[in-house]
Amino acid sequence: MGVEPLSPASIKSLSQKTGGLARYKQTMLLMSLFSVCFGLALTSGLYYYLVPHDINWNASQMILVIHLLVGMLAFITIAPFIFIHQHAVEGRRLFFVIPWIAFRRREKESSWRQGKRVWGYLLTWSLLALGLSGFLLTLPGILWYFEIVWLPGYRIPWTLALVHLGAALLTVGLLWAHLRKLRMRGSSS
Amino acid sequence: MSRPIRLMIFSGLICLGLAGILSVVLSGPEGTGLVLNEDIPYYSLPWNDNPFYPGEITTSDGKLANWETAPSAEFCAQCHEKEYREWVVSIHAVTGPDIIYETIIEANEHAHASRYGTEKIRWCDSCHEPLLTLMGGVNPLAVVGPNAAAAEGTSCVVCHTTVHAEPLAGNGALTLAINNINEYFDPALIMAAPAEHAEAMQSTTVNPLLGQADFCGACHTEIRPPAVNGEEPMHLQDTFDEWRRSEYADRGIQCQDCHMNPNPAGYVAALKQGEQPEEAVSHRFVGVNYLLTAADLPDNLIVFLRGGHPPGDIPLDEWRDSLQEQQRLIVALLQEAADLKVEASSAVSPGQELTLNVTITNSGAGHDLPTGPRDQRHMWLEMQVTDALGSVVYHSGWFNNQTGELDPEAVVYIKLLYDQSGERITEHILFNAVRVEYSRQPITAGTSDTIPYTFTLSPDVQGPLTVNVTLWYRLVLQELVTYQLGLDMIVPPVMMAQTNLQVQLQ
Repeated sequence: MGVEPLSPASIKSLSQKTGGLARYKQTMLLMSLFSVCFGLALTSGLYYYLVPHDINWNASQMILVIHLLVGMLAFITIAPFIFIHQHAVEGRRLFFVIPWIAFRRREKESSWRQGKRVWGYLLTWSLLALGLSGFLLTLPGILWYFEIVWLPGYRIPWTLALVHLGAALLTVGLLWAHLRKLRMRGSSS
Repeated sequence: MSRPIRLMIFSGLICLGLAGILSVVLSGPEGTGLVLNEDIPYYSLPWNDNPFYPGEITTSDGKLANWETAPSAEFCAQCHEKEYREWVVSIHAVTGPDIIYETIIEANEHAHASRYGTEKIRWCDSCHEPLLTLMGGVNPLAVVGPNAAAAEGTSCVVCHTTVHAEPLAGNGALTLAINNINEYFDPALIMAAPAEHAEAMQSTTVNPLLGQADFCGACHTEIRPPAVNGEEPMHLQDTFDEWRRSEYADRGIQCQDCHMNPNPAGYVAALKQGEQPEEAVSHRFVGVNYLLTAADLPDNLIVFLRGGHPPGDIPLDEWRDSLQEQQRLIVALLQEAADLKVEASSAVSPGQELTLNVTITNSGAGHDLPTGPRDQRHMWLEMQVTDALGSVVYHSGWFNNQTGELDPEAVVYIKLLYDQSGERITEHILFNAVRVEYSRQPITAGTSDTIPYTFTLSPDVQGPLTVNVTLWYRLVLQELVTYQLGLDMIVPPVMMAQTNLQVQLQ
């Protein structure tokens, strides 16, 4: 029995489907990488913040190095993820510049979908605050390698560290809420 | 539970495990301190096992500081440039290298050459060259160094590793955790986590001692121990104790509040008016040494006096300008310290006896006036009375600008030191002092001293009389400059306060 050749329309449809699957796999890979890096960064950051350093100064400094590395990796993985995810789910990125549109309920939008979307936006902003504060905290260290000394004053890194910690904890909460919405939909359907 | 959350929890647990392993596997930083005899050979200990005695400075682990690793001010200046530029013109930057100190130290050492003269210098160097003392550098045999930080006097790490002070014990009674400065992997990490660095370097937010008078008192209290000479301890400087007994201590005004303010005179002036000025910090440490800040001295003399060019990369022109500014701040502070008043006791006629009462009030200093090493730091009153024709009727307290000679009859506030043979010590050979007396008691904070001047007017004097009174301050005695330093220079006095009065004759 001979196989019927696929029509051009079928080929296009199939390639769209397999392309979507590939993109999905890439997205999930990014999400998994981010999850690992974020988990490591969060734990190492809390460890550095909460555990007295004089227990073992060298270990605390190694933890700080790990925190800086995985923190940067987490940011590198989450940034493209947000863009891809946002594009796939929403198709618009205006919320970066006009944040209030995120809270507006759209036409024919279910409350579940709106809730998930709002949690998602809040999560994105929280991640942005986390990444930005982390970057600003490390900036003097990075500049040091370029022989530029920039000391923003004691209060600024102190405030940034608080923002960084607050944003990290907020991100955990928002991430949980955002993903929980997804699961609620899954269980309800 | 969704996959990302599971992954996060899993990686978090991995991280905790890793942190635990690192804490066990990585050894904690070991102190950098050195051990006598093991690391430092041939170190002389004539009195006891304390390597810093008769100085009172010490390290938190009792070991000697490591001359190979102690960071210099130049190192700290890589980031703390503002603080470095303030400090580099201060007297703290030259407590060790300044030529006056070096010369006097040699003279004292020489005076006790066969009686552990070098080891006794640890008493002086505990404050003047604290790092050198802690490194074991004050020893008949040179067994450590060289180290840039040790040559800098009272540099950054001296204060910023201090964890304890005993101000009433004096003689540098500070405990430095200098052997426990945590080792960073990279300076970039310091920049990334500055709070850790601030904690390690005893910032005032972490260690309030740095903002308290107790801290300064450890060095601004000088008591010669019997190990150096004499049967009993001899109090030679009590600036901290003077402050402790003053109203300033009761009001909580610390040494640092005035002397580390960017505008000390302005701060004191505001205090005198009952205001509570805003606190600010400068590392200039403005005191009274207007000589070692005199950048306008001829023939580059200032470089010689300060023991050489400044450490670090500050351009020399900028250094000189900053020194001049330091001197301006010093003179302004001196001129806020005292108020002067002159009164005639009663109406007088030509040919009669005139009494003028001069009152000096210590209105701006939180310690005695004068204070510090009072066998050198001294102040005196000059009174000149002229008649209507401009003729000098009376003159007390004259100063000869050509010879540096002071009127022997002047009212002088100075401590007189005497040696075993009853000779007065004018060149700061403290090792030899056996007796102390004051020509006039120093004026304690907030109090006044009234000096009556009585003289007979000539019968043909023409009134009114003009009375000019000046309170002068001078850093050192001329004998020290001429004979000890061998310098052909006159150290000028600084005018602290001035007033005048017109006296009508009957």
